[in-house]
Amino acid sequence: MRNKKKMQIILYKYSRVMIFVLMFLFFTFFTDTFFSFSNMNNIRNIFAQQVPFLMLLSIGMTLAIILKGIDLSIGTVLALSSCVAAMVLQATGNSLLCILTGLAVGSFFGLVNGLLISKVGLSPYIATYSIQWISKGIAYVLLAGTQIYNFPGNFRQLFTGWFYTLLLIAFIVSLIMWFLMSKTTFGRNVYVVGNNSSAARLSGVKVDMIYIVTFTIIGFLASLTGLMYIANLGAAEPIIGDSFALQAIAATLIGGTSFGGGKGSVFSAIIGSMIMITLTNGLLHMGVGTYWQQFAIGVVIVFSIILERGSARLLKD
Amino acid sequence: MSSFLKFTKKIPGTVYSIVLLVVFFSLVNSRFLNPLNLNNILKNASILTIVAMGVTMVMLSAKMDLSVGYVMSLSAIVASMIITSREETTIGLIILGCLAGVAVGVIFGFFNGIMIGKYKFDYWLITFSSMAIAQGLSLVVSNGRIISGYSKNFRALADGRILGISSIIIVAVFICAIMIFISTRTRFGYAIYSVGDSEECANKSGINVTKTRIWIYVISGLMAGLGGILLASKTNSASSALGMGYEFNAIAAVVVGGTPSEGGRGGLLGTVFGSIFIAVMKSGLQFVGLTAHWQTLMIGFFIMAIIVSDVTISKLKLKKELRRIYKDA
Repeated sequence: MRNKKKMQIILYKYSRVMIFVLMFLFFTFFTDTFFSFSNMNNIRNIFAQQVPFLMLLSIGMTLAIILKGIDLSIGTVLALSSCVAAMVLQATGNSLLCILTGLAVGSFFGLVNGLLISKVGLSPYIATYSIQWISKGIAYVLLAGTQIYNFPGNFRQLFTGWFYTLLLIAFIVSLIMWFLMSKTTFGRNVYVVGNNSSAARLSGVKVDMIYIVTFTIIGFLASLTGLMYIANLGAAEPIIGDSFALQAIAATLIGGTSFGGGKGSVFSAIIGSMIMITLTNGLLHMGVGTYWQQFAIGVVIVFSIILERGSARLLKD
Repeated sequence: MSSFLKFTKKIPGTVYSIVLLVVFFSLVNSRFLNPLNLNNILKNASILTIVAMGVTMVMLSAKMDLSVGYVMSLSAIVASMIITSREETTIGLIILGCLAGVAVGVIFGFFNGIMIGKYKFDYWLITFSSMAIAQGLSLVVSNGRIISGYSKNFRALADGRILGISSIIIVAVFICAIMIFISTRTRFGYAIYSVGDSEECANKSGINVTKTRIWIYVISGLMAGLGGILLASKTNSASSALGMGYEFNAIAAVVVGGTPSEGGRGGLLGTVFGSIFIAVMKSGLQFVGLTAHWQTLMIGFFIMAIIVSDVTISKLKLKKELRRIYKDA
């Protein structure tokens, strides 16, 4: 009996990896174009040009959800910071300046989110939801309905010079974030605050500071993703990030981060984003239209919270 | 004189702000006061009011509904597809379409209600994902197209005139009256307030909290469905982007109207004025010469400011109260 329980818990622990593998096999067998050893193009494209973005965003979203919060503004902050960066690039032609401005804008909005949540005391949803509309508004006003393309200088070369540069950046950032979350005091404190913020406050953790720093990191990650995205795309416009927040939430939750806060890891964000990309790309290859994607994402979120509810009962004793 | 003062105290503060805004915008641009524009403002406000009625009920019960915007799109699309499916549009077809559209709203509301009220899932996450599902379905059902070309009869729902007033305004007044009656004069209305104030207290005093919550979300979905159909009739088109952003405007109208997000306080009448306020501001910003993008930005900032000040004021009040208690003790 006990062994059976142990078995179940182990099964649950690796359930996400299994979901990923099963899904991968399913799409491999049931479509001709998704994956075969003679034709690796699709898989290479997925891992080099789609997974990195979602991976970074879901790492950010994981941080927010560990803190019992959420960041709905992640997509529009991404769009705004990349638009500002593109404008700077076009005006000056200096790639370094452009990257720094982009990162600064993202971090600034993250900082504002953190301040609104910790110092003003807004619920993370309301704060980031309003920031979503504000940052979207600023991006639209700045570009006034136009697009920026034909980036001067070596900006695109920096990110797309080698086919796997984006993946490499995402990998390095995940390593850093993994180290930060599991090997430092800051990381431990994030989990503590997410578990029980008043207990954390009473035991001397600077709760406000944790919120501010975490949300600034999320903003930073969003803007980094934005820079990578426009470098890959070769154009910047305000609409690029519209569905990213939703995708990142879905990826984070299907990866196994619990919505109740205090649980989750960088690894689960990574596996979650791979599951999401495999699902959306696989559906496309099955011949299901792009319009179904949004629907699928919503269903995945509902499915994963029901799954989590079931697992909570399993892991309780 | 004192009775006059008493009377002024009864008027919600939003009314003064609306008057101030109207005066300001008419000073900036005299064409603002032309009857055509005023009628248009009221038409916009009436759709927002209908949707915001449902959202107010949800917020009174200390929850939130983010799905209303895209539920509006979906129900408008379903209704329009039925209405435009035949060459000849009969009244029966229009009624069938409207019923189907409203049913879509009710189904989404029921889903939200069951998941949140019965199974106690997080309300943000549930309504956020049902928003995504509604958006996805609206794209799938409409195949990404814009549906238009209704018959005159359907358009008359919003554009017709009864005694010189647009019919949509009369519909809105009618619905508001019913909803305000429900929320202030019935047992269900009292239940909403007490569930929002304290779920535990409500439960202990014999209110069926689960049932109340499910009904609240069903009503919110129903209102979104109605709003979507009316919006389609008013704009003479339906697409996936039709109701986009309405959830944000509705939340804004509710908060401006004096119902904070922690629930238990406020009321539906305030929301009516809140919606008029938002509509006046949107139209005014147009008259001042700002583009649609600027309007999004300004309204975002504005709502942020209102929410921040609301939270800060209630925080200060709490502090004051605590000081008083400790002093007495």
